[in-house]
Amino acid sequence: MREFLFDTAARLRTIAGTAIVAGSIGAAPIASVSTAAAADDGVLQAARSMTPPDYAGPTIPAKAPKDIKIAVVTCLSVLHGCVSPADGIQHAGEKLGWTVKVYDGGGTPNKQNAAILDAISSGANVIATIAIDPNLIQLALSEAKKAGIPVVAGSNGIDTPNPVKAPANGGLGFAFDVSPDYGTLGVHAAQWMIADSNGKANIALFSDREFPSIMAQEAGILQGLADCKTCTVSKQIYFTATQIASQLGQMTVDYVRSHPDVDYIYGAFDPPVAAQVAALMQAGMANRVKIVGALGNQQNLNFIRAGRLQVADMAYDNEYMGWAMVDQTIRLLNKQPLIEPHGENLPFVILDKTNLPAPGADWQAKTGYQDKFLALWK
Amino acid sequence: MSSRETARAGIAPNDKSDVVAGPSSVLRKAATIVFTRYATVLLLVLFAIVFSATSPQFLTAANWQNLLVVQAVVSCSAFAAILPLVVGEFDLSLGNMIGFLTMLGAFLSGQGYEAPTVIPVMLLGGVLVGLLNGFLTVYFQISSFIATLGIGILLSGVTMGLSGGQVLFDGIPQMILSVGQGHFLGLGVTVWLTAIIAVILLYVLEQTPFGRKLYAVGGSERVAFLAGIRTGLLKIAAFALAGLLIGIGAIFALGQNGAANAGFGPELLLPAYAAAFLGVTTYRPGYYNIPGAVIAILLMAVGFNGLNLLGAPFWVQPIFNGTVLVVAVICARAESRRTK
Repeated sequence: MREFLFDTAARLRTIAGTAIVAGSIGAAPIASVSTAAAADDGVLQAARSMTPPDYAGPTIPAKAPKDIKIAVVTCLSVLHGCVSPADGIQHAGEKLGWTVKVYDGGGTPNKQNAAILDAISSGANVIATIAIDPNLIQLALSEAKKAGIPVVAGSNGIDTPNPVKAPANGGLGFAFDVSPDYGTLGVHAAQWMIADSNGKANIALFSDREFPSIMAQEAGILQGLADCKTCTVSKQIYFTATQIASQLGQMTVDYVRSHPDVDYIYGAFDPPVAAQVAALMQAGMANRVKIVGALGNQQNLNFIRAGRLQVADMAYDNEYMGWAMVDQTIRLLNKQPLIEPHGENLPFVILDKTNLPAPGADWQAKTGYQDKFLALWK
Repeated sequence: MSSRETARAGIAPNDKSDVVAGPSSVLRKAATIVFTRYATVLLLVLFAIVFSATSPQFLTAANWQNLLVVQAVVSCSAFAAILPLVVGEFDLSLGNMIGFLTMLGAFLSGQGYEAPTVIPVMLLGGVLVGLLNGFLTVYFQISSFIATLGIGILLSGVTMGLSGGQVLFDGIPQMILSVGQGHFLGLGVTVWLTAIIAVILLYVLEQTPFGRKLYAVGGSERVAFLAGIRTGLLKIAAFALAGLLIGIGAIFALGQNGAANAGFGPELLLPAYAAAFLGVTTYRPGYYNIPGAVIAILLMAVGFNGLNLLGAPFWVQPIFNGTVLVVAVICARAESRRTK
């Protein structure tokens, strides 16, 4: 509520002279970004290139145990970003002869707790969760601990290379969390916007504080934009997941109408961006702003393809995430040291109209990582 | 089926006479009673047999402990839905109310308050919201649909304001966590507490003048009023008790999850009403009743659990729940028509 008052008092602030609260992002930026210069093709090209440029996953062998039953609990099985890492686990598990069963977390703490408890009952050896906040499933984590079943995670952004966030009050957490480096991903997206706008981007920054991954990404965006002295960025406009379907679209239209100088929107992740695109199109603002999202959802990639407001997307390889989760799980079961960073250098990229995958396909790193993982697990 | 219709249906049938008025054959009579009055129980037994045969994990103690513990919050929501339904009203604020009270508890915890403060405030908050719903419905003559919908939307805003858009997890008192995650005699503490609440509600609704008056108001408010019952007061009391039950559910939720997020709550509204409507088909057909709701909750929980253990795709469960609800309500309508 207090922030609402602050928001209405001072909507926009310039980056210049403004201290950015975000923590420093570990990875180096792509390149120094010239301000108010012509579109920096080098920076754009670097952002469009995969990071890391080649396979940078584990190289230490870890023999896969046999007959493992792994239960995968997704955050919500109608969301592609929740399901695709589970697909990766399934594909890797099939190669190892493991039994992989996928449970729908239903998008709510109550159902996520219930799904994990069902996974415990099913006799799983390991439970893998996708984008589920450990703070909200303490009951299930407590039961898993009692049953001696390790719970691992992906896509939360609470473990290396992201800032490590242990659950509060000594609560239970995950054995590890495999995620991309959200901070560096944010820096790259910021540099893409600076270069695309010739250093003149006026950005409305929408974000969601419910998810640590989004907060790490936001920190990266702010750090990246700090390099641009001639850009402006709004104070963060926070929304919640429950507002995406009902209110975010109108919020965005109202914001853009009342801030005619805004020409870029950072939409935090793809589902809210989809709502923003639809609302702005309906409001006749198809050419008013350029939107940048994250996750690499195919609907959003189609927006970029069709030139419908969204111009770029921060994408990472969810299939790789699944394989990396299996890799770290093998090491955990073998009592081997986990690979550092725990995200196993998950590849990511900034997608725009120049480097989109084929229609209907997710972006994937073409490094042959599946064969490399399989060779390590023999 | 409107609340008024079902409340009227609830007052019409006579438990003893409808049995006598059945087919002449004793066997057919018994079958009719079983199928119309205990259809959900039969379905529950059938599913239990099927899932036991298909999944070796289904009938284990560990599975049933897990299955039951996550029903505590849903049960409180369903019981809370029943009380306004009994007096012929709806409370659509229940989902947002449980989200608000959970967030209120997490917010106070984050401010350093301990359980002796947080728990009473959550309970009192529920009662106050219930009273507000009741006053709007009774004294301002606003349809309970609209009044409680408005209060629910208002609460969702307050919830988001309290959360600041974040998941709140700092300082949740150990007592609340122990209630949510602790065990007693092999079952979760929340399971025992839910069972106690169910027994108390059953007694209050069926064995006390207060409970019978609630059913009388739901059957015909005008007749009840002419009989000297203070219908307005009873309706307000029903809403307030519903708020109290939601407060208890919120404590369970905060204890089980260990945190609160602004999105929690609304998704509990439909399962709560589904359980209340399904409950009408069982125990005392035509009446909103507690044992029926408990059976309905178990039926849906067994379905969710069994399908999960079998590895059914994520889209099967809503189909299952919807089908069960429709089939059971068809049975209830058949029973209601037969007894008219």
